[in-house]
Amino acid sequence: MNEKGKPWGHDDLPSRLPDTDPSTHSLEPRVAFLWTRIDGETTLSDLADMLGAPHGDICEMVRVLADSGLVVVRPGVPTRPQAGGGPPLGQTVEQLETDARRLSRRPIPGKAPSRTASRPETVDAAGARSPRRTVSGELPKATVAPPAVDPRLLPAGPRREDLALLRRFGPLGHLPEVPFLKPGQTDRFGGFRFDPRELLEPCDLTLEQKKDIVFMHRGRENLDAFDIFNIAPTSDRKELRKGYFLFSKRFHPDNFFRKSLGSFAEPLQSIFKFGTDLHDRLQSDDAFREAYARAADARNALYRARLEAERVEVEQERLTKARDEANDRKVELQARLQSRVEARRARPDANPVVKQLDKAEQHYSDGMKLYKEEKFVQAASALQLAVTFDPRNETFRQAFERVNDKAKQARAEQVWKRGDMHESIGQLREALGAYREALGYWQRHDYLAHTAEVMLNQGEDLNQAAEFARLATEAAPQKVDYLLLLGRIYERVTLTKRAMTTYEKALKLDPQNEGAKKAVKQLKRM
Amino acid sequence: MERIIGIDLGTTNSCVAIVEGGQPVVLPNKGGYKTTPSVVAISENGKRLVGHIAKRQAITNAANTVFAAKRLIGRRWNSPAVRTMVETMPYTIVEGPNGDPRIKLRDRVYSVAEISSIILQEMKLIAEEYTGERIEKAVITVPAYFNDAQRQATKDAGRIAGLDVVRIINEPTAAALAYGYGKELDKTIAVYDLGGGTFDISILQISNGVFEVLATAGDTFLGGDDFDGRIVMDWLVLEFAREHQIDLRRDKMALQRLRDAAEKAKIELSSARETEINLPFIISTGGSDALHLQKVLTREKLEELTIDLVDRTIRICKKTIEEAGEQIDDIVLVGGMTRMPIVQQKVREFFGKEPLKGVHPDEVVALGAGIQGAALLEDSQDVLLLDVTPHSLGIMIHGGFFSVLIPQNTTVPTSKSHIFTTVKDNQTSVKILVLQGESERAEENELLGEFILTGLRPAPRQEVEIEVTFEINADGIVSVNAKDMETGQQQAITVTATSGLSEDEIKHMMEENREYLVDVRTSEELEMQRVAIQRTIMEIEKVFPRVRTVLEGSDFGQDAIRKAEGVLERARRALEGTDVAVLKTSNEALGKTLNMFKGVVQKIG
Repeated sequence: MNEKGKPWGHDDLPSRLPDTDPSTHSLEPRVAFLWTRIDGETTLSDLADMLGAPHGDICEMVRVLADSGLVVVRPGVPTRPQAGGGPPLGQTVEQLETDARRLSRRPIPGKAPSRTASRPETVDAAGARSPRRTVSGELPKATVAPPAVDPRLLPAGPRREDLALLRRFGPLGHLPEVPFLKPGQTDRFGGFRFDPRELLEPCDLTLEQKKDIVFMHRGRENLDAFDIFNIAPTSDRKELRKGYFLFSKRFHPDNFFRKSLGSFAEPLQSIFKFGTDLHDRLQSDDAFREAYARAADARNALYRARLEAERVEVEQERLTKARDEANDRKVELQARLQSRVEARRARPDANPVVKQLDKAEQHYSDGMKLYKEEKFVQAASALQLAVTFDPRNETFRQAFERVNDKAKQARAEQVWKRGDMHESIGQLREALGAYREALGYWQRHDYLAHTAEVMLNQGEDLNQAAEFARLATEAAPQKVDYLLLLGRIYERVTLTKRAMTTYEKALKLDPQNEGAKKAVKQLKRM
Repeated sequence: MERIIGIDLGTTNSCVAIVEGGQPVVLPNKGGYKTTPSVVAISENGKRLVGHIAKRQAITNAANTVFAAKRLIGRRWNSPAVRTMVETMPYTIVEGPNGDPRIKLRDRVYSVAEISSIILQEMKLIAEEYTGERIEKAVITVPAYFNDAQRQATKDAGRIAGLDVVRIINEPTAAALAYGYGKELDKTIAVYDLGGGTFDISILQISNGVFEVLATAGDTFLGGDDFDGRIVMDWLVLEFAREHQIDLRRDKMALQRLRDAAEKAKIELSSARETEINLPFIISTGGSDALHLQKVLTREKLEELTIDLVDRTIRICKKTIEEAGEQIDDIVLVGGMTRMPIVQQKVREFFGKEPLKGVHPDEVVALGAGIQGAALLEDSQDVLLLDVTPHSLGIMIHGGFFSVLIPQNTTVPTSKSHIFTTVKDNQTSVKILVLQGESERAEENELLGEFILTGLRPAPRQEVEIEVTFEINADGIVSVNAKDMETGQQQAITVTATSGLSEDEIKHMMEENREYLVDVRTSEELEMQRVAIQRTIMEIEKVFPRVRTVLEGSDFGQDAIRKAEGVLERARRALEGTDVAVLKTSNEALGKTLNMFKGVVQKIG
């Protein structure tokens, strides 16, 4: 809580009090570290981001610093609407979640475009880390923007005060944003693209020397002091001098004494002068050297950490992708199976069952059509097919049975006519064949009776004739004639008793029938 | 093969060296000496004498014998150094047309560069004789404390001598090169150079064949001559005056004899405990009487006379080492004066370690110059010298102060810029005065050149910005550029320190020297022919008696003998003359005769 008893907001700005020394207070390491990050430009929320601690913790730590008289907190300009009233000091679950979400969205410090124009120094700092001076030779651009890595997992990078100190020395203090030497780099020029025309210039230099000069001259932007002298940032003054000496052996103009250097002469001198100035500064200015080494070290650590984080991220992405792909493949497979089933269903000939049912349907409709046209035989055969294809369909069956009867009758009539024709011209045998066939279709009583009479007249197969006659009497019991015919047949095969009974039946039906009377009399006589 | 020789142009002695088969060697002169006295004289018949001959005749020809010309080179007539020289030197120093000191010998006035060129030419001849090649390029050493004018004058001397001076390097640096050449060293060394005229201390870092000068300092008027001077002025002259009430300083010849004797005594005392100075007939007392000087000088007395000079060197060492801030691994002693036991003792005490004695103090500088010369021509760089500017360079600013742009001991090539501004309202031009030196006051430093940048925008003071850039390129040439930051307008000059000689004068002197060179060459040839004829005559005379006995019997033989005698006679006559052509033909004739005689001797077995 500040003096007014109000909790601090996210955008409030802590700043150091001048001429204070934290080493005189007993501070917790993380509180002391926080103090190093307070520069009057960094808001509490930025500090929270930087340290990866929740707002509440930061407030508590700042509180300690404020109580020690090391910092003061000024109310900041709100940049987020929700920060207007300032969230309560005590943290809530929601607060934690909001913090976490914001963190994961925030890009890596240093890459971050400044959010507000009200903090010019931040812009400046970012600018110094990535100066955009133009060089005509080029290094290939950084391949892809590194994926957003949780800044809490990364080291803090070069300290602001170190960078500020280096910046005072202009080009001498230039520290490239990323190390020149990257893991797995084999090309000592780091992929620098040379202009072949430039290298073809005729002079006393070897190609390697030309490349060296062009690279050191144009690609210097990408090198830090330790790259230039080919030494480790941890090198002491002696090693630095050694590095500088080896550098001199490559770039001192005396090495090219009285040689024709063409357009390389000027860059060569400039390289050597720059290297000498840089070496002298590093050698004589302890603060500069220490700041440079520290900044380069921190930058390298940040770079390595970022690489590692990216590697992990890429690895995770790869795994996720693999898993997703496996899933996708499974889903696809299922879909394909499903679609195949559907497609099979969709195509009529694809499924025999469906096909048969469809055929049955087709035949049925054909049959009904023919039936309406009274083409009974054809209709019956169509319906029979329909029943054959779909035996379980009752409609088809009933229709078939109905139509089939009609068809049989029609057939029977056809065949009967043919038998009648044969009889009329005396061909009794053929006539009987046709009559019998017709009876196979339709046992009409007059057909039965007539057939039985013809058979009786012909004296052939009288048993069958008796049967036909009997069926005829059963089909038309009121017909006396049929009974008389049956009696005659029985009489003929000497079944006198049955003949007698049949005549008597006839007499019962028609006692006045002369033929019956006469037959009974005749039998009685015998 | 192109060669670059290395010349140590010393105050008292000079030395020349080359690298041969990877080894640096000092070249001996005709007399077989490895060092040649830096003495030039004009004899009574107008002949130029250099080196040992010049030194030997100095006593009898003191007024026309120049030594220690190096102390005058590149200096102004009105400088205190020259004033002292005018008073103490037996030869006449006069003011030159450009405010430079010049030397009057016989009836001619010579520039200092010209005198030095005569020595350089001698060194060039030594090298040409040794290699049998024409030598055109050289690296010449100068004391580290030489300023631009002195270096330029040395370069001019080289040009007059027909040498392209590709590099001027510092003597201690050269010594370090000789010390570190061909060794795998990683050391910080101190070069303590106490020569005839100057004292230099340099701290160098050597690693992987690269030699970097970390700091250098010295005293241009502290050397062996001062030690001799102490013996002469503070002791011999004083004692003599006490005994005879006669001031020997008035007699230039006596003074020269005293100097020589003092130097000799000093050298002897490096190995002996005491020595006798014996100068009979040192001065005449008007009548036929003459006074003699006879004294015994002990090492103790010498040390008593000169201990403050040695202490002065140590004080300079202390300051320089503090500046360099490095631990010294080795000390290299350079210069004949370092043979003096008291010097060695003081150095040992100060550095706390034994100084190196492996390198010959008189030759080491020339060897180093030779190494640098060879290294420049080499393709594979084994040796690289990172040289530094000996003096601060800057401009004069408001209030008469000196604003340094390139500080002392900056590795060259280099360039430095600084932004200056106007001091007055509506100032439209600025004058850039280019200065060299270490004083805060501009007027106490040496003016190298000046120029004016005009066309500035009239504006309140301090508003117009002018960027001044100093550049020293690989060849040591200084250029200064002033640029108006607003308009981009600029002015530049290339600073060439004036040696006191104009370009025309140098050209004229070069021309004169060439004539002189031709003259020397012909007389040399004359000498060669003479020697050859004498040798052939001797050989003929050796076999003549036997040939005579063989041939006497025949008419043909007698004719041949007469002919041979005629040839010999003519050759002897030719020897008396100076016509090279005549000598040549008689030598050829002698050669034929000798061949014929040899044939005869062979036949008779």
